[in-house]
This record gives sequence, C-alpha cells and structure tokens, in this order.
Amino acid sequence: MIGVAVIVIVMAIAAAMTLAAAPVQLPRSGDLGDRGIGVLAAPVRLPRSGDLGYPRSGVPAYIFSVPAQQLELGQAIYAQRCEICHGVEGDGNGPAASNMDPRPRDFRRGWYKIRTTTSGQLPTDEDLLLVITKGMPGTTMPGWQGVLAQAEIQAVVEYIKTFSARFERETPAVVEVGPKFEADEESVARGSEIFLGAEAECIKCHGAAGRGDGPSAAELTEDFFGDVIVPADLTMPWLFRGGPTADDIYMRLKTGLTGSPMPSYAEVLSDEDLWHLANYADSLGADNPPELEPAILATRAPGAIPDDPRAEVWQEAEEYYYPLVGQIMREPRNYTPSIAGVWVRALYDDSEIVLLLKWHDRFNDSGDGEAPTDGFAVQFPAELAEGDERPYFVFGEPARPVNLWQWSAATNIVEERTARGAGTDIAQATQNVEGQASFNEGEYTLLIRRELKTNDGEDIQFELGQFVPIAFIAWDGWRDEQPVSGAISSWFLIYLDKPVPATAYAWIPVTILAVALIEAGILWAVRRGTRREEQAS
Amino acid sequence: MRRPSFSFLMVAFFSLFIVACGGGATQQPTAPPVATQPQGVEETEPPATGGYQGGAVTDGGTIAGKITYSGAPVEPEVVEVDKDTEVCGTSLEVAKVQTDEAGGLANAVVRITDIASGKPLDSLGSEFVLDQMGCQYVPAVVIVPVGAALTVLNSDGILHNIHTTPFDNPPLNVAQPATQPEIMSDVFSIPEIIPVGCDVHKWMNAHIVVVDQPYAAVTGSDGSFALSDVPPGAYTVEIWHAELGTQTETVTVEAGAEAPVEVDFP
Repeated sequence: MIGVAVIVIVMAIAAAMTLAAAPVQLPRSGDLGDRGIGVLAAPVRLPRSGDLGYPRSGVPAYIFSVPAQQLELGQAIYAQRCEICHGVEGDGNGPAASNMDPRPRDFRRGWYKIRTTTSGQLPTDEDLLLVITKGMPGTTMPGWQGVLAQAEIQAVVEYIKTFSARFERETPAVVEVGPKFEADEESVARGSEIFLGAEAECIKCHGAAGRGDGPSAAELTEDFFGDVIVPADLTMPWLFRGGPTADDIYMRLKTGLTGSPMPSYAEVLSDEDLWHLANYADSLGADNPPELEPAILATRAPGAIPDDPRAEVWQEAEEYYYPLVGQIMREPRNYTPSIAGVWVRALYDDSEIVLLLKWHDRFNDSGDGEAPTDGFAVQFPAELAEGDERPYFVFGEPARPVNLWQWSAATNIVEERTARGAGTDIAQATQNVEGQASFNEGEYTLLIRRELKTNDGEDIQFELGQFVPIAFIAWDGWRDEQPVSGAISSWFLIYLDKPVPATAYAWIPVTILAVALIEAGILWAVRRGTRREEQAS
Repeated sequence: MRRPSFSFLMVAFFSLFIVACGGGATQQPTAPPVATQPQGVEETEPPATGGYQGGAVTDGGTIAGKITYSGAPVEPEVVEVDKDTEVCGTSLEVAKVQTDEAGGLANAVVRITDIASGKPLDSLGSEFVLDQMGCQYVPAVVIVPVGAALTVLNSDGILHNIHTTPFDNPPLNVAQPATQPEIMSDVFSIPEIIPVGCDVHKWMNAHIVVVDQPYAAVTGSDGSFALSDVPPGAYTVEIWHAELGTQTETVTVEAGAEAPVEVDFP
C-alpha cells in the first residue's frame, strides 16, 4: 500500500520539478487573443515614405487591397513576435538586431534572399510563408510552425508586405524549374567543370574546395547595409539559409540571393547545367550536421602515431564534429562567431595522446604586427574532480582551473596555458605539448601531441578507461576575435579506449549474479521499511 | 527517533536527479517588452512620377554650361589587384572626383526636375549601354529613361556580376561570366539614381540614372553639358555627383537662346 503511495508521491514531485525546471514556454497561438485586443483596436500603421537616407522619388503611400482585419491581425502578431528583431518600421533595426549575424531583414526595399522568383523580383506570398514557417538555418530567424497558426502567418505576410511599396506595384515572376537531372557521377563531374571553369567561376567567391574562401571573398567584408557578409561554406549545407538539398541549391542558383553578392545564373547557364552545378554543390557536404556524440573515443594506435593526417591510421580513426557558439557569458562577448565547428580525431599509444583537429576559416590570419591572428585551443580541467564536477566551461574558475592547449597562427606552435577564468590564462612554466597547424583552402589542420602522464602538477593526466572533459575554442583573426571573445563549445568528453582483457568475459555471469543479489537486497530493504512503518503506526 | 525511511530516501534521490537534469536545460532569454505605439493612418501622397508629356518643341532654348570642382584635390583610390590581373592589371586607379586641368568636373548629372512637357522621352536615344572594361564601368554614369532596358556588356571576358541596389525599382544581381558578353537589364519603371557594383571586383562602381523626362545629361571630361530644345520657361536644374552631392539652380530659358549654368562644387 505504502509502496504504491511512495511511487505516486515520487511521480508527482518529479512532474512538479520538471515543470519548474523547464525552459520558458513559448505562448501558444491561442494566447494571442487576450493580449491582441488592445493592439487590434489600434488603427493599422502604414510605413512612412519619408526620407530614408537615399535618393527617393516620392513613391506614395498606398492602401492595400487586403481585408483590414487581416492586416490588423498581422500587425498585432508582428508587434508581438517580429518587432524585437525587425523593428517597428520594418527596417531590420529592432532592439535585438545589433547582436545578430546575419542581421534581420530590412523589409522596406522588398529585398528577400529566399525566393522562387527571378533575380531582384519580389517573393511570392508562398515564399514568405515558407520562410516564416520553417525559419532560416544558420541565422537567428526561427520557424514559427506550431507557434503561429497558418492563418496568422498569412496575416503576418500581408503585414510585412506593407513595408515596401513595391508589393503594390509589382507582380513577381516565378522561375520555371527545368526537368531535374539526377546526381550521378556524370552530372557531378559536369557540375564541377562549371563550378571551377569560366562558365560560372563559382570559385571566385566560394573557393576551389567550396569553403567560401575564394579570391573575392576577402572583399566581401560588408554588404549594402554595411554588415559582414561572407560566401557560403558549401561543405556545411546544414547552414544554408534556404535549405541544403540539390533542389534548394538549384533554386538559389536560378534566383540569386537578393541583397547578398550571390547573383542569379538563370540567364547564364542552361537548366541542365544549373542542375549539374546544383548536384555538384550538393555533393560537397551532407544535408545534416554530423551527429553529436557526447564522447570522443581515442583508440590505440598500432604503432607510432604519424604527423601526417593523410596516414592510414588517421584516416581510419573515428571523426567527431562539435559545433561552436559565440562566447557570450563573459565580457567581451561574441554574438557573431565566425568558426562554426570543429572535427576531431584522437589516437593514443603507450606514451602519448595525439589530437587531430580540423576547422574551416576563410582566411589564414597569421598576423602582421598588431593584426589579430587566428587561434585554437583545446580545454581540459587541470585535474579531474570527484564525481562529475567540472570547471566552468568558459576558461575555468579560480578554484577549478583549466588547461588550454593553445595554438596561435602567429607562431604556429601550441602552448600549454592555465586559466582560472576568462582573461586570466597564463603560459605554464613547464611546456609539455607540441603541435603544428597547416592551412589549405579555407581549412586548418592542427595536430597536438602530449605524454599521457607528465610530472607537471598543473597538467591534466590521462588514464586508460577514464572519461576526461574536453572543450574547444576557436578564434578568427579576420573577425577580430580576441582571447575571450572566440567561438566556444561546452564540455564534451574524451575516453581513452581500454583494451578488453580476456578475463572480462568471465565477469558476465558474475555480474548477472551480482545484479540479482542487489535487486533482492533492495526488495528486502523496501519490505523491511514497509514493515517498520506499519509497526510504528 | 525514527530513521529516515527508505521511501523518503527514494524521493530525495529522484529529486536530486531531476534537479540535476533540469539545471541543464537552457533558459531561453525572455524578450524585453516592446511598446507598441498606435499610430494613425498616414496621408497618402500623390504620385510624383509620370505625367511627362513629350511632343515637338519648335522654339526651344538650350541650357548649357560647365560644372567645376574647386575643392581640395581628391586623389583617386589606388587598388592593388590580386585576381584577374591579366585583365584588371596589378594596380588600378578608381577616380572619385575626376576633373581636368581647368577644374571641369566629369560624370556629374545635370537634369531638370520640374518639367511637365517638352521633347519626347525617346530623344535620349534608343540604346543604353554600360560596359565593363579593364574591371571598371564605362561610362561611370549612364542615363536610362523609364521603360527602356540597359544593355550590359562584358568586354573583359571574366566573371563580373551586375549588382544594382535601387530603392524603388527591383534590384538586379546577375552573373555575367565570359560566356555572356551581353545582358539586357529589366526595364526600369521609376526614376531614381541606382548604384551598380560588382561583388567579384569590389572597387567597381557606377550609377544608373533613371529619368522620366529627357532633359538630363552627364558632364563630359571637361565638365561641360548641354540640354537642348528646352521649351521657354523657368526651371529648376539639379546637379548631382556621386561623391559631392547635389546642388540646384534656377534657370530661365528663352526661345532660341542659350541659358548658361555654371555650378562649382563643393
């Protein structure tokens, strides 16, 4: 009886605490009603056609031919959901906008990147609807599916259109999609030819390896609005604003990305060639990011661990991918990090552990004088704590320092540093790591070696069969990322695989027996507890 | 005293577990409240464009003169080229303010801003061309009437992209690789001055001046210009330069006579 009661109580407490600890709940679409009323009563505010800072020809304001009620609903939702980033005036200058990269869309010109219409044309209602519904990967624009009802999104679309008079004047021309060509070897080869050759010269911006590091990339430091804009890294399609598939890429090639340097190739390449090019671009990266593994498994190398990342033993080692985010916990913060993630492989042998790290960076900033340089650091706790306690992931804390194996493009060496909080890192007196990086077509490859055990009290020590917390920090010199304001990961783990001794198999029946005994013990304890409580009452 | 019962320990254990898990959940930042100011519907303005009447002008006069620059010399921007050097050269000069020895200012636009009728719009010609030569635009300023398309040539035989950034007209951003020596722009429907650039060669820039009346001219290398067949009357003439801004001048034109306009920047 009491056993059942206990379970019920536990579940009730669990439910209550889960709710309390849950993230802030987004209001559901139904919530709009009450809060919307005050706003709905207000008249619709049409955009001003006043001085916007560039030559204007006095285009009149105008009244739209959509039901006023729909515009009012759109305005109410816009005020609640969109204004914080896109601004009251639709200029992309909301209170939250300055920390965003890319910046929120300025609606006043009618420039939209993700469309199905010809170069420079307005988007269709469906285009806008889709972006609001699905959001834009690699940006701060979330998808509103499940939060807003379809009719509400439609109302927002109508309202957004009031920010540009062009919607009143122009009817967008939708591109014709040519018959699709499958991504066979031949198609991809032809696509590669177009990508690299004079027919399209995609490499001018996107680079020969597609990492967005072409010779013109360095000039694309700012777009028309003065914001940083860089050519897409085609090897990371999961960050594509308009979707990662060959169909998506075909559409972008056809329409161009208005407001960005990416032009339309619709009039330049045949539909067939556009498909080949899309198939080739699609072949450069996977649609989804590699699955996030909580732990890196460092395997034992059969012999000495080579420096050459092309060596067979490295090729066979498992590769892990960890995304990086801007460091926004400590000043100076970085809301617009440049490096998106790091690929990691790990090997060890009798004496040392070796990490092979790769990350994409468009330019090799090895520094001339004062210019900020590229950098990378692998972070470990200085020592393993009892249980699962870890230092603060942003450069540790006074009581719990971290080790940084920090590489700088200026010196191309890896230095052991100890940090007790952001900005406190100092080089260790005894240096035990060594490493060197190479840069090739927008990709860094860094190899770091260290003895498994050192005599340095400041250092993390590695035992086989033990999980060690590991984190990563990257700095892009070109984007002026300084010691504290890099791109950072949270703690993950690295595990030095312990070879299984033959005797381990004998333990299986023993374990089963032990588990059975423990279960019996628990049963006994519960029963005894129940009896005692009954006796006491 | 009672020992803590097993059931209590279970509750404590589970609670700890839940706290540990819950603490890991990321807190979404709450958006600061945004005040919504209800505003009234703004007055609609009458269209400022269109309405120009073209026809025969028999007793017209001419507005002609010279635009000069007497400010401190503006050195051309020197660009070190690191790509397409076989076409662009290794170094090139981009003139910001181009003048001759006498101070005549090139590439300024002179146009009447308040004329309702006069010679036909097609007197501006029927072909409007912007070329890309040696990784620069030729001419730096091109006048195109509404309803006409612009022919964009690529004499360089390398990839350029025609990227316009208008406000009222649809923007354009099309690739023009070597295989595409000629591209026709869409028709412009609203008068405005539209910047043009190339993202492959960031130093390249030009302006398309879309006009809805034919009294517009770009000054030559000596700063001179002429607007012919202007019906007699008083007009406002606007002089615009990409770097130096805008000045206006009031002019009275008499039949068969030349009305001089001499404007000095800055």
